[in-house]
Amino acid sequence: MTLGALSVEGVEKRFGGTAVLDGLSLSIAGGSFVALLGASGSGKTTLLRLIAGFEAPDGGRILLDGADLDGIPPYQRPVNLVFQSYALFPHMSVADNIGYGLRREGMAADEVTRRVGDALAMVRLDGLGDRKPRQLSGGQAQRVALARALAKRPKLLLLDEPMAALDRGLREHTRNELKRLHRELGTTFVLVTHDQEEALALADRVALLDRGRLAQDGSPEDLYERPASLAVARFVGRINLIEGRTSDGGTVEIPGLGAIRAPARLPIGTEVVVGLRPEKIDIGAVGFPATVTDVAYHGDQSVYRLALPGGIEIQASRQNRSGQQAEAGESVGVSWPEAAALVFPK
Amino acid sequence: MNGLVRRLLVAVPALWLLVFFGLPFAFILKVALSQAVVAQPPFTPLFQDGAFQGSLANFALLVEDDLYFDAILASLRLAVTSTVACLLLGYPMAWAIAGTAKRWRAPLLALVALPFATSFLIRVYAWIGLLRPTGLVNEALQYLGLIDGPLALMPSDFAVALGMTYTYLPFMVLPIYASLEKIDPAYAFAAADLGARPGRVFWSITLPLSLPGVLAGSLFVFVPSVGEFVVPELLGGPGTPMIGKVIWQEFFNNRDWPLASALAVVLLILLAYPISRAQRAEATTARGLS
Repeated sequence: MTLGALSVEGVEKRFGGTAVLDGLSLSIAGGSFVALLGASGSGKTTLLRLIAGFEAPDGGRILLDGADLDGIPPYQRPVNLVFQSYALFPHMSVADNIGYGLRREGMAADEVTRRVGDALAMVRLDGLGDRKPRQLSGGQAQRVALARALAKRPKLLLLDEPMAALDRGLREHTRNELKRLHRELGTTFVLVTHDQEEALALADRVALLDRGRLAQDGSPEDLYERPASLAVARFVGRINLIEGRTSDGGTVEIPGLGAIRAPARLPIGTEVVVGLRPEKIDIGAVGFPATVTDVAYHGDQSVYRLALPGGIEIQASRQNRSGQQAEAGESVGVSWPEAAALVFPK
Repeated sequence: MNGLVRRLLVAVPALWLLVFFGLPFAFILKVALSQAVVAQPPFTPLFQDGAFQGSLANFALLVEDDLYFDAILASLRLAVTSTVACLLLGYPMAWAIAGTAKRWRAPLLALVALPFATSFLIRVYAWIGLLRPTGLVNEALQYLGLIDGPLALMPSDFAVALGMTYTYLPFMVLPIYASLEKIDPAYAFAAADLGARPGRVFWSITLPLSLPGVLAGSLFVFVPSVGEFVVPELLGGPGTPMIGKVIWQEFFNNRDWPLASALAVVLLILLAYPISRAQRAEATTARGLS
């Protein structure tokens, strides 16, 4: 088994009277790349601080490779954190920043120098060791922060919103770098982010946190294609939501629209919400009659705003492989595969 | 418009410096170059019949007579003592205040500045009440049977250092607090995360990042301490007088304005050096931190 397996067991954390983490359990396999995804207030940052050891849980326990971390101060945990602000020590050079953690281990000076060089090469910043943090660009500072944390060769690397301070162009590049480092090192990476796109693109597993609880834990595809709840479906990706009531024969009765086929294991007559991802919706000649009320052109794709009978408004996105498929004002037919309809109890 | 406003904003402090520092200093320098006479004003004019009458005779006298050199040395020694004492007391105070919950910081800082609500003179007199042979401290120690007779707490250099430390402590606490408060808490977390124990976090991160405040506080204490006149006058012993007192004596007892002015000029030059060095150091660290 790869090292760096983390097990969070029924962890609780309260600030004042409010439970920020409410009996959260989560297990992370050694060597995996996991994203803790959630809106602000979901408890993801608190969980990160608990793993790093900056806070102590009020209940439950956190185990790293089977060993309880309770009572172990942050400076003794084999876990390192890349801070959102990077927190590079402003009065030290880049090399001294990276070597800081190694010197704390009592490592010999020449060994520190060698390891700092390795770390700089790893993040492709060779030769920048003498710079001060203020002389670095945002992207460089981020890589120094990564190198500083990874130089310690932690069993687990925590990344707190690592792309938040980077501009869009750099993010793509940084994502690839993170994936490369994860592949090369085999260290467990735990990424905390509110950006679902980042979580889906980077992690091989995503744990979605909602108000201190685990809303869903699975592969990015699980979260997107098979959301466990309406809350997950809403948080991850775009989705059309249509209210209805389950009817017999695997259908949902939508007021004004009629019955649609939708797989649901719910008693007949249950109030439900049907979720439809915009890219699953076909625009053509067949299906429900609809009027295109607006088209937003995005180059690679277009997003069509469609008015269905019963005052229902949905959005459909289609790739522009051979031009746009409809114009505003046009009457079209709207359809989708049966499996695309996600049914949630209201 | 913008440029005009900016120029006006710079002009105000510049004008202030010119009127309340530049002109008086020019006058003092002029007097320092003249000779004392029994007249009104008590110094010779710098130009007479179109000829320059000034000389460096007063400065030469300062070098010849050990009294002045000793006084400057005694002043520097006491100022260093009070600065170090203020630093040792003030840093932990500032650190503690910066470490408390946000809502407690303003009231605690107000407490630090509270002594300013009472007149400086009254506060120094209060120390006389505490330290004199029949003062509160001696009486209490005698009552408890810890000493047989009163300790000679004052007048003494000890009492002067104590009085100056007490007087200037807020000037040390406030700038150190300001620089501690500015330090991003993430640095300390990052250091701990990288394996630094709390003591190491302090020495390698917190202390170096708070040095601009330490430097500013030390200057705010050291500079006025060197020229301090009131505290040594009230609490000081008959030993070597401090430079502030010597200047006072030359001005008012001996009516030797030129010599007193020369002393004031020398003192200013002595103090300008550490100030400019400190400013340069501060500019360097500020560049490093921004």
